[in-house]
Amino acid sequence: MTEIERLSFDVVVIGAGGAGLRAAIEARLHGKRTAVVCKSLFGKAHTVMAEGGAAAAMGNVNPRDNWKVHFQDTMRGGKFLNHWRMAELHAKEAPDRIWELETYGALFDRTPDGKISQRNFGGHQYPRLAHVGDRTGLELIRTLQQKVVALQQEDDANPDSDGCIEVYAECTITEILLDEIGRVAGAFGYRRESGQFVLFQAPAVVLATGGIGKSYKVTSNSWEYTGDGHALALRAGASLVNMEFVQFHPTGMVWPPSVKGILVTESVRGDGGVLLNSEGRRFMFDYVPDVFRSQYAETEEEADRWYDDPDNNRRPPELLPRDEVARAINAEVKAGRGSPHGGVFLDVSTRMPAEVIRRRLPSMYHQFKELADVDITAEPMEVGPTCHYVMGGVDVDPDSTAASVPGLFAAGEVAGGMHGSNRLGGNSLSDLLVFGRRAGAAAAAYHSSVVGDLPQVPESAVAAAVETALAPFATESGENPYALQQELQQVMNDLVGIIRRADELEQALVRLAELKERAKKVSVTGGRRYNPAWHLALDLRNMLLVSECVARAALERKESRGGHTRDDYPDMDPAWRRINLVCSLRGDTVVVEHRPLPAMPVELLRLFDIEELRKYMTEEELAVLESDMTESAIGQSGVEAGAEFGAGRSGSTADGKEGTSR
Amino acid sequence: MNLTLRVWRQPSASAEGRLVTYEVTDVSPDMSFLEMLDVLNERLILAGEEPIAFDHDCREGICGACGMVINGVPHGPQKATTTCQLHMRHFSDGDTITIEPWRSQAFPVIKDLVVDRSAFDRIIAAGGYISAPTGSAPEAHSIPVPKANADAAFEAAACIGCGACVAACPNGSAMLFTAAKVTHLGLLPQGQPERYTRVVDMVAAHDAEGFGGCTNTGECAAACPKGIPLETISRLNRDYLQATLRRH
Repeated sequence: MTEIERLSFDVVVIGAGGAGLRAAIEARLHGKRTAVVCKSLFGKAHTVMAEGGAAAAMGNVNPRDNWKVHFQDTMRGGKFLNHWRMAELHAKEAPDRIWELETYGALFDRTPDGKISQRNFGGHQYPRLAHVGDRTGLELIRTLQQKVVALQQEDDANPDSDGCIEVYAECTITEILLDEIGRVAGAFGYRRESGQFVLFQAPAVVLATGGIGKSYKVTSNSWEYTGDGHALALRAGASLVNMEFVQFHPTGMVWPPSVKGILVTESVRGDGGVLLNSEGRRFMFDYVPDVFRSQYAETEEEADRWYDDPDNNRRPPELLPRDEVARAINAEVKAGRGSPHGGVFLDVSTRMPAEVIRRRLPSMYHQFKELADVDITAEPMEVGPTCHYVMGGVDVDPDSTAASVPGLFAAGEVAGGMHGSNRLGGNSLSDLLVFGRRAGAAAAAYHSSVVGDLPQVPESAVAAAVETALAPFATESGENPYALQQELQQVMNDLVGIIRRADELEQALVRLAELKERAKKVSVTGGRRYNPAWHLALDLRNMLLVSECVARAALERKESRGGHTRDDYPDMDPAWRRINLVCSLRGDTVVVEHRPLPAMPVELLRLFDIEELRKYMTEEELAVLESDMTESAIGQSGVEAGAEFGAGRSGSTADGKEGTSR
Repeated sequence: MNLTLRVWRQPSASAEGRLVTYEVTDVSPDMSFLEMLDVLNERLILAGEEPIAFDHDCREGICGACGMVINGVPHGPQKATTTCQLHMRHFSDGDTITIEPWRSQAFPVIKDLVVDRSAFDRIIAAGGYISAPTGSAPEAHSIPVPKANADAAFEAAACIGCGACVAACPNGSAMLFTAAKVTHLGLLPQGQPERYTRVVDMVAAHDAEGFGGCTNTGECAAACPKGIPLETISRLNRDYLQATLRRH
């Protein structure tokens, strides 16, 4: 039998990004012996790459902001497919989480009177993002990491304390293990450094593993984003929700290959950059949808005047919502009018003097000069859509973040529901803090509830996990993991990308099934000590499983909404808004089921104007709602006028609905 | 272009290491340095050899995971650039490139180009944090921080903890890293209560880890991919001096 390091904890947190660290801190504050297990080095998690900020309705810059407005914005951004309760908790608790972070020593940009400064972002009605220049994620990780260290020091100084936090860096979990009656009993994995196996025995496991971007060829995500938590949850018997919704940012670098996917900030367009096709045409004028037509310029002259006089001119179509811009770029490339490396041109060089570009866009100037050897003051950039965020994730209870498997919890990007069909920029960092804390608390409470009857890991399950992990060494001259990953990324990019069609999705499922078979024969050479090929071979399994979920759910949802666009079903369908698609694993097969979306209570519905809700709801729902609302509105004359005004305003805010942290 | 690489291979911490020569052909000038190593690794795997181990994660210059000494310079020849941001166009056909791990007594090699940087964690553990009251958010809404102090702390807060400063220093000192952490917290109101114990404790931990003393050579600031200035160390020294005086 292979030697296995055996450790025992009350709570094990998988992932050391924002959600994982916040969960671990909370579990420790509840007096639990807590382990944080991270695949990469401690403090290098993907959260570190977030730039824009954390959305929290503190009202520092505009006192009219409050949780209700934040809630409305979040629901609109997600096209009303969000789990209302998650959006509510998030909007209510985000400010407390930010202030609390300050007590941990976080540094934020300040207003002149010393308060936390807040910046504007797409889809947020008021300036709402607490930020630290363009490296908010770095600050968030550093602060949480130092809080972990502070608690560790406290524990060292007080040997009688119950709780603790131990960090296991460069340690990859490959399986969640259950006891005989289906409760979480532990997590199994290996240490990268030595290749040694490790078993964490614990009744409560918090998944905080982030997203799935590395299944796509072009992504802004970190190299560790292989959908581990999504796959671990599925294999443990939990389900995933909203997996068809993947957010693509319209402007990522497309060349050179080494930097493909790295984001080009939206402010390049905000400052006057224009999108051009290979014929030199400003093609965005051809892609203004009817619902936005009244708000966007029809001529280049008017668009150009907007930058200096936004009150008397309409916005340039380059500043349409991100999903619209991404689709337009995609269409131009497909029509053969793309740039040499498969994107389109984004030009500032003919729009402003070189010294202005260097002053206003210093980081972009540096990024293109260093990475692509392109001088953006002299030539256009090449850009294209890049996979940025997965809205789908583990199906959890909003208040406790508990998955359907007893003892399993999930928070952050790996959890689903909060963002509906599309996430607003800035809502990710706040999501991590709000639900990370809730996950830690709930996992601690769960541990207390089972402490008299702790689940035991069956030895057979450990043996099976060892065998699975070692399989790539046992196979001789089988498939190369790097080659398989590249094929997977190509399939997802070409067939399950930004625009989807039934025939392409069906083709993708055939290809994924082939890859799944081939992945069973993946082989690696060398030893277990820090062997990247072996790491990839094990990650591949997760990427393939999660990719299948995305493709199956995308095939099932026959409408277009947020991060899911169907060429063959281009419209949003109110009937589909009432449905969540839920993926689970039966044997080796991914099953997709329909489930009704939890209904929003009427007091929250009343935050919206009925005219706005008309865009999203079925006639049947509206009829019920109208009677409810009328009852509550008795004695309030002028409801009609208010509704009309509200509809106009919400139309313009739904405008910037898409968003990411940049 | 075609290149000759001399790469430090070391199977484990206890094993002896040596430079191994590899010929890499058809390298595109547009490849990143890490991508060039990926290509070499794929070939090694196909040939049944063990790939070269190196740390990397975001490949965007913000996470601080990557780092290797390239032709004697941490993170290679480009200023204010991490290894992952370095591109092959800065090299020429026929070049021989020597690639080594961070070299410092306090950063033992784990395998090949991967070193153990946990000494940094232990310096942080000696005081690089705030032990303010925990639990619920304070009633006080938020802590007012003078904008000028916040802006000054930013410079230090840019540290990504990669360790290039140590690799660059002829003494193997981690004083720029330590100073960035000390200065960052020392400029914030939350960091005041522990300001003077922090600096003394962190410097003591730094020395105990086997990092060398600072002689103001300035190689650290030159190598720092985030451009953290040498003045940061002066700030640390000022706090350290005050802390010592307070004791007497």
